[in-house]
Amino acid sequence: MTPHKKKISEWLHAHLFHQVPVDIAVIDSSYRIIEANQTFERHYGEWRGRHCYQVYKGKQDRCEDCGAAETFSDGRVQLREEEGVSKDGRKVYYMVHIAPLRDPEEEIRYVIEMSTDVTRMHLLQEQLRETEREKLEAERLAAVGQTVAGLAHGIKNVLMGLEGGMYVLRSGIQKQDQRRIERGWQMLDGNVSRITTFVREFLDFARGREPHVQLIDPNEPARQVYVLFKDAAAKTGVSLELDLQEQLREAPMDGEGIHTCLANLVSNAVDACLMSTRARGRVVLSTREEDGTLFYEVEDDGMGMDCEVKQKLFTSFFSTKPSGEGTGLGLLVTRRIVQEHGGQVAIESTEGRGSTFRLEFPRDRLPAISPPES
Amino acid sequence: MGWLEYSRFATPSRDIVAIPRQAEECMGADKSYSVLVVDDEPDVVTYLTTLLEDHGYRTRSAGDADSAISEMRARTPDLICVDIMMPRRSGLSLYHQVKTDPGLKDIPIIVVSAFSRLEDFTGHRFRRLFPDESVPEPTDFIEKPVNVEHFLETVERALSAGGQ
Repeated sequence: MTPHKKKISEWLHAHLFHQVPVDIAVIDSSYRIIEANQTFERHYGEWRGRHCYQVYKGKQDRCEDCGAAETFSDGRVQLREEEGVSKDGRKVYYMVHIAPLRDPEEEIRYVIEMSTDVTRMHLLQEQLRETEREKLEAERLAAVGQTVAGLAHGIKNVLMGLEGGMYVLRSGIQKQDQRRIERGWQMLDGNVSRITTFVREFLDFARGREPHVQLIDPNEPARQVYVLFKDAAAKTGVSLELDLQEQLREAPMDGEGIHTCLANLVSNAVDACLMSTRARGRVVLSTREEDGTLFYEVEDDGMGMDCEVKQKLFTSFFSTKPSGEGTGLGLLVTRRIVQEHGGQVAIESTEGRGSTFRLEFPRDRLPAISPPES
Repeated sequence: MGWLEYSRFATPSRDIVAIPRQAEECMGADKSYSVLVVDDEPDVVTYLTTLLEDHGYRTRSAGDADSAISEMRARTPDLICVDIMMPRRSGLSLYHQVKTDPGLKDIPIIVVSAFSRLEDFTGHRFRRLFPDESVPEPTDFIEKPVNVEHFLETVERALSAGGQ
């Protein structure tokens, strides 16, 4: 090596090795650090004569899952995320590349570890996860609030009927009008049984059920709902079709809950077809996965919805079905189950042309599998 | 329990007391306004029409938006009481149609709904529902279940304002 080249090499060693903003340490087969750069020393303190686990992590014994040991044994370069302690006692997260240093006989004598502090990134990620959890919780609370508002709406309607019945009955008695008395009594009677049904259904809804999350074939609930509804739909002149994307990967879901959602949507879709002016209706139940999100779709060519109906869909016990035929709970239940799965309900609808209800479940928001029942 | 027994328990409550023996006590025959009640709930229709008739009004009713339109085209009412949430077409859609129809737009409308956020139908929120500046806000709102006195007062006020 010419003196000039030697000088460059020394300069490189002095500057590049010590000044790069990466912590570099060379470790021998007894896990002792035999060389480290200044950046490393600045972050982890004195290293001379000490073991890597003492310096990186403040431990007295070798780590159980030791990256250096792996590289010594298989010679492979690794990239891993580790948790350590800086010289001032702060918890740090670092990404570390571990590479073998071989002697001329190809023996791995040392490993070199180059690490970068990613603590800030790690904390941001944690925050993001926390925010995501809070968002889910907020969505759940919002659903509860809307449900309560919906309950109030439903009860007010029944109260109106009861008060009306009392007025008609009372005025009938005063006027000695038998027809009016009968009508008033009928109104009271009807609204009492209406509130009984309503309360029973609402209790079922409020009690809900603990979602039982298992790894299931996402297509299974769709198949079951199809079998359940196809004959009944056909009898009313509506053809129910099933369009599944085959071989969807299993997903942690509450199969019974998804079944309830799809049954509600299919039943609504069939009703929408019946209320349309066309003679025959068509409902398609489909599944697919795109970019890590599972989709269930129920599409009908029924009456469709105007924009006010769309706005009110989930805000109350809102039903466009003639009174007595729908409590407006179906979509609320559906939305609650979907939200318990971290998903959402999307709606596309054109008045007079039909509607599509889409359940969207991003896989990374699906719930954890329920513990086995004791 | 028969209705006679029941009637013992149904003591007059805050707003079910005023039942005049004669309609004329409240309204002279010359002030016999006609009110169209639009609601998909037959009980609500019975209640409001009975109440109004007992207080000297003439009433007609419709169970949905489309039949309400034919009713008012056949004979223009002096006032319309309309529910918001109805099957097929909502009360809002009916409201919009009436208020943009030159022949009907001057009929005062009272919204009678169990919807608790009635403030959604005033101010900028109303404008968001009806961006069309020519559609005015409803004459008044009544929340279900109705308070009888308040309901009758509101009806009277709407009619006297409409008649000016």
